[in-house]
Amino acid sequence: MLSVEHLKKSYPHSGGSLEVLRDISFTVEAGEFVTIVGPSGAGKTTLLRCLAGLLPRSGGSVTLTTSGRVVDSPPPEIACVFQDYSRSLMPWSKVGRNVEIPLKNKIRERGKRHEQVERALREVDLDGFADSYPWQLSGGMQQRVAIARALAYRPEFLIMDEPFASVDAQTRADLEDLILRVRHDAGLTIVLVTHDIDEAVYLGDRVVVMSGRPTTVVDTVTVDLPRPRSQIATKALPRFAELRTEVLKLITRDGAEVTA
Amino acid sequence: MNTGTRAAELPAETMTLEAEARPGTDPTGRDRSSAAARLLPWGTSIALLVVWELLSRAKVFPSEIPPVTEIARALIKLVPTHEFGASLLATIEQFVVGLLVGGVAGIVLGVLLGAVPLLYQLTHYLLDFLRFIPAVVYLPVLILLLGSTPGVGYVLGAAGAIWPMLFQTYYGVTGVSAILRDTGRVFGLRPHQRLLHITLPAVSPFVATGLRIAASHVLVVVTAVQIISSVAGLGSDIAAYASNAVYPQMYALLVVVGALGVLMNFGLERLERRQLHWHTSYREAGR
Repeated sequence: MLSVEHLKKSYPHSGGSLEVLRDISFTVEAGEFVTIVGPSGAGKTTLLRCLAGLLPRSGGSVTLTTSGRVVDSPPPEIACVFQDYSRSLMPWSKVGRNVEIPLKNKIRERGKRHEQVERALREVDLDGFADSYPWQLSGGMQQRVAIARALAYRPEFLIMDEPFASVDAQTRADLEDLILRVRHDAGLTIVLVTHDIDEAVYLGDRVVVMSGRPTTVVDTVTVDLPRPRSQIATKALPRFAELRTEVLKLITRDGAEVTA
Repeated sequence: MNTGTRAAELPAETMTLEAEARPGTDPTGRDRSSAAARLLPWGTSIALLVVWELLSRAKVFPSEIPPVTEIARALIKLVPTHEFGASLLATIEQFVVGLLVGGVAGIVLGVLLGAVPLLYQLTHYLLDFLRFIPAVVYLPVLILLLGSTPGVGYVLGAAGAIWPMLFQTYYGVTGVSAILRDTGRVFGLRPHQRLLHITLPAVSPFVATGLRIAASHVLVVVTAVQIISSVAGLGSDIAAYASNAVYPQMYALLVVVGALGVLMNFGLERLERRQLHWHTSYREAGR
């Protein structure tokens, strides 16, 4: 379980300080899929970088409760998928190598490492592309490479920062279903940040709604939609519409308060 | 700081631009125009040489500028001699040693300065000052210290190579994308693994540009050192022929130095194209 308590983050900014995260608390249970939505500029990326141990906090704590480990630097239990796949993949390395390099310290034996790479690429339907360069693939395929890289790492927690924001709508839907499938197969715990309310409701078990900057948690909405979910059936449910309206209200209500 | 220089020294995208700028909807028209485009520079070069030859034969040029054919004859006579071979070798040796020592030192310092911001803050005024001092101004001191030995060529060659390499490497290291650095950290890569798999490859296009700039600097410095002092090499032969008014031979050696520059650039470009086949400037050309 991942526990975030009173997380704060400020940046030094022209003499004073810029408060980005004011007070963020939520928990992620093992096996849960938590989505985080908020208006643009809400410090979502800052939050994820704090969760992943990439950014030092200004206050509060992020704890992995199973190991009792406080996240101060990137822990081995966490893997990330970033929004900008074109810059998170290494253009000088082939797809297979991109997936393999992070495993160097986890799996010493080369043959086993290659097996794991093969399996991860198969999981995202990219078998046969190990010897291509990332830039020879389409955007959606590149993001699948990034997902395969995270899967091969066998993390407990997968942290995703708007992973489908840079691809077209159809690819986006495919990638959403892909992530639901691999999550089910691998029993992953996922935290995914998005600015897309439909996506947040469609994917999540719970949606954490954030305010604009300085960011706080407005509310958490439990998504009681049946699984497995489907782009057509799930999104046609009246309950889906209710939930997305609920989340939208939370975001806009907060927005109205901020501007008032 | 230095945004102008930095933009100018970035690995150029000109390769792809040139390729795209070529006209060609109709395949035959394209062939004709590209063949013409390839022949034209040769045509102008030959035309200029012919004009030179005629003006020199007509005594329009002073006697210090001999006809092209005479220079060519001098070159053919000169090349097989032992003295020429020794000078050529000495120049190449000073060039290679200077580029290697200065280049490696530049890369190491550039990586250090890029990786340790404090180090850059402490030294960057000094570095910005030193980089604009032409390497040859150290020549008198070095002649005093080392005499007219190849060592002078090594040291000044290295001094000519170190600055472009250092600054290009520094720009490269500081320009590694934040997401890529985050990626290395999230996946638990150790510092040396991040250096090997992320930083160095990301920096290599900058190093390649630095290497080409450095190589031309070193050739200039090494030749100048030989011309000014009597350090052995093609430069000192050029000076000797010039002071004894043996002009065809002098020009013949100029041709050789120029050819060295062209060859060196050609070789580095080939190497770059092969090593950086993944880079945006080379992706199309590579396949």
